[in-house]
Amino acid sequence: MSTMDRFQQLSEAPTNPQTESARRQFDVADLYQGPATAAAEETAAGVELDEKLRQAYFWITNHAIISPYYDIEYNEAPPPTYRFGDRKVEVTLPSAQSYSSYVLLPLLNLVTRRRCLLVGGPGRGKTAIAIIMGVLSGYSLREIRRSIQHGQPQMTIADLLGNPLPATLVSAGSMDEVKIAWRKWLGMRVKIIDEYNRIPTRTQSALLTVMADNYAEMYDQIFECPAAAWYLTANDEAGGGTYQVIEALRDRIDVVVQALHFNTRFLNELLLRVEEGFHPEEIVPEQIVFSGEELSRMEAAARRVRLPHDLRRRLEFFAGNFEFFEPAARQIEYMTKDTVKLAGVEFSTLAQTETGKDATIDLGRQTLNGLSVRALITSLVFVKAMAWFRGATEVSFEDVRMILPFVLYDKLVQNADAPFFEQEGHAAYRSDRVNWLRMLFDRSCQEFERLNLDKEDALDPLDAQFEAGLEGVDEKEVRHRLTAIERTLYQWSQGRKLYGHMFDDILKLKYYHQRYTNFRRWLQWKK
Amino acid sequence: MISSVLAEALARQRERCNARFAFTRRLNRRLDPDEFKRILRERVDPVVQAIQQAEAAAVDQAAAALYDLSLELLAADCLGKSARYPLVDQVWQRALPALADRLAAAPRRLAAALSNAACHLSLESGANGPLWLESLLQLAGQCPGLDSLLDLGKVLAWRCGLAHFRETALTVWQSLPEELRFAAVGVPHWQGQISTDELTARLHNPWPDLENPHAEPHLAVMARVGGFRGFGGKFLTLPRVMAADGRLYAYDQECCWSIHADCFGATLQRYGPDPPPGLPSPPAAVTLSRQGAVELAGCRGVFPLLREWMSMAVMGPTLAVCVDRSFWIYIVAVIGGGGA
Repeated sequence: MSTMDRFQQLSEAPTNPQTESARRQFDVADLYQGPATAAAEETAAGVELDEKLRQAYFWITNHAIISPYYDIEYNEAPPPTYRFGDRKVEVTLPSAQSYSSYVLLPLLNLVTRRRCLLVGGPGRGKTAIAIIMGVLSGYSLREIRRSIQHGQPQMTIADLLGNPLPATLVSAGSMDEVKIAWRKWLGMRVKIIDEYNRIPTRTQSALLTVMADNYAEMYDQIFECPAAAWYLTANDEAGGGTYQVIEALRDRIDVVVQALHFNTRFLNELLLRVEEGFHPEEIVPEQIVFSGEELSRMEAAARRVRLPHDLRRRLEFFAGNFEFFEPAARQIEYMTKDTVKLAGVEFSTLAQTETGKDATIDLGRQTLNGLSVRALITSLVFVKAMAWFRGATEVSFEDVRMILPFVLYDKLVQNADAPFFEQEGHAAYRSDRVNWLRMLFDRSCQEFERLNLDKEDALDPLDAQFEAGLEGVDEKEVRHRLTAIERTLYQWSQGRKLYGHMFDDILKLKYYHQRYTNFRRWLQWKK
Repeated sequence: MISSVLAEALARQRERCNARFAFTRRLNRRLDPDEFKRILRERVDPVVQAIQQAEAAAVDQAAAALYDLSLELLAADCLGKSARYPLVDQVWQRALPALADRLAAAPRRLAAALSNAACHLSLESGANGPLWLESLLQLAGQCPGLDSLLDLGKVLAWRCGLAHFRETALTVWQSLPEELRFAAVGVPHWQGQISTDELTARLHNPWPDLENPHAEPHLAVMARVGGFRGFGGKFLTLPRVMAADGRLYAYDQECCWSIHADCFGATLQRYGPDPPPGLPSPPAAVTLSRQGAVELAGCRGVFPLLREWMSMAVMGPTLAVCVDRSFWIYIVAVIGGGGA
């Protein structure tokens, strides 16, 4: 295959082959397939959307963005591993199709229509990938470039949202009569905010309304924005820039991707681009451009991917580790990091009173907060999108393991003072947040397995009983269930330490106990 | 010099065209700008001028599509002085200007389709590309629309030797305008002699007698496929044949191919590294003696060519035979006899 073939044509379907059909079918329609590509609607017909998205991914990695990294690793067989240097730096060669997070996550964000923050030093292609996402969504390069909101210290709300028409301002008898010339970007399916940490705080608040609630407001006029994929860029991942990013805005970021460094062995690629004056975003193949309807279908298809029960349990177990903070209160419901934060008490002061727990089990010690509902929803959305992208109908363990760190990147705040980071070889986790989060998930899963929770989860039968409903359950059965709950709590109370993963289980048992207690009272009253 | 029509159309999209060329050249250093200029001048320009005559409003769109497509084909060595398939050049030189009125409606779709078809026909050694082109130009005027023209192209490709498309091409053939059907399969002389229903029934037999619709069934060696790879054939070692899963297969020590043969031609299509599980020995319905005497479906014939046969396989009225010390596979068939 000539270099031209490799470049001009998209990766041939199937890009992620699963099974091979035994008998080849010959269709005379294939006569018109070949080196000359027909119009986009011709070639795109019949291509599944996940396949089209994979073709888009490979086109970007092969031709548009120089990102020769495979940090999202999948393996079908044990991968060859090599260790380098005094610290035994491990390099694995994945045995299955693996991906570059810097290209993949923005694409998954396009599918899920969420908010993606691209972080990294200047000149690493953050804006370039956001622009390509815009072109993939069917906008012309000119439209996309014009729609980019460039954060700068003088940016006003009017710059961001629009202006009242002067004529209506003069003639209006009431606010309702003022007409607003809304900025065009508000109505687009892809929204790009460049250097969002350079936007003044007041304008950030206006941006928050658009990002969070999908509408813009000015002079009592409302502009309802369509569902859109957001791309924000920042040079400083901590959000520090000209202006401090307001916490609510940061909280709305669903996924964070770091632009990795430029691999100098690819300087020749840069040289060619310089010599030829070449801009890949100008020539995105029509075959990988998605219509608005296709974007909606992709999102719906990704949401339909199934999350198996076993995997959901592991996610629950993992997420349960972080909110619990024993020294925060006297009553168990308030033993959370949020309680400490709301009280304005120094976290480290209280943390010192908590001793004796196994640092490898007590993962909650490594964070300053727990996972919000938004973070959990985003995690579910993105792991499903990952599985869908790979052509699966069910989320796999590796999908969760690979994607979770990018979703929780800004969501789980690291407690850099935790003793864990003082241990040998752990200091790097202070700066390598992706692998710190992946390590947390791995350790959580190890603990889950050690406790044999995939086979013997005390809550499983109680959940099943409760989900079956209370109709027809008699008092004797209720008493029996209450005893079972009390017995479980008693057994757990015999352990010496209370860990985060037990917190939500205990509270759920308390919840069941209360529901059954009320039900028993109602049964007694009914008699 | 290119005409002012094309020059102005390209000037109106200068940035896009330049970017497209730069992009293509970037990854194909061999791309010769002078050769591309020649293609624009000698191939694209006449087509655009013809489109200008047919529908002036379509010139810009057509110029852009043909610019992109010719660049793509040049880069893939399908067009230009080092082109692998001269038939593609013939399509651009003869067919596209002649079909300018159809091209105006969907320039990219039609030009790409015909170029790709020319590539397919060029890849099959037994296919008759020039006949396909001639027949297409001859019959295009009878096609009411673009889809119908493309359907005709498919049927003609089958008729010109792409036997592996037989099943689906037959379906497409039935959707052609009735007055076109006899000509499309190369039997215009049958029109008036037999009805279209009868023609349909006869074409369902892979081996109708195209010379004489009323001839009695008889055996004939109709084709040979394969050949030694060193001489441009398919096989590295002496092949064997087998029948499995409703199809004939040929295989050597390296690869397995499915055999497709009918009255219009015979082709081998790569199946995979190993043959499918099937029947290595032929069923009793066929006999082939060491003297080359064949008895199949009640027909008899003697073919000295097949005397030293090594393996054979039969599927319906088609017999595939390998002979000793030959890389060729001979296709013997029961010719004529009406519908299957």
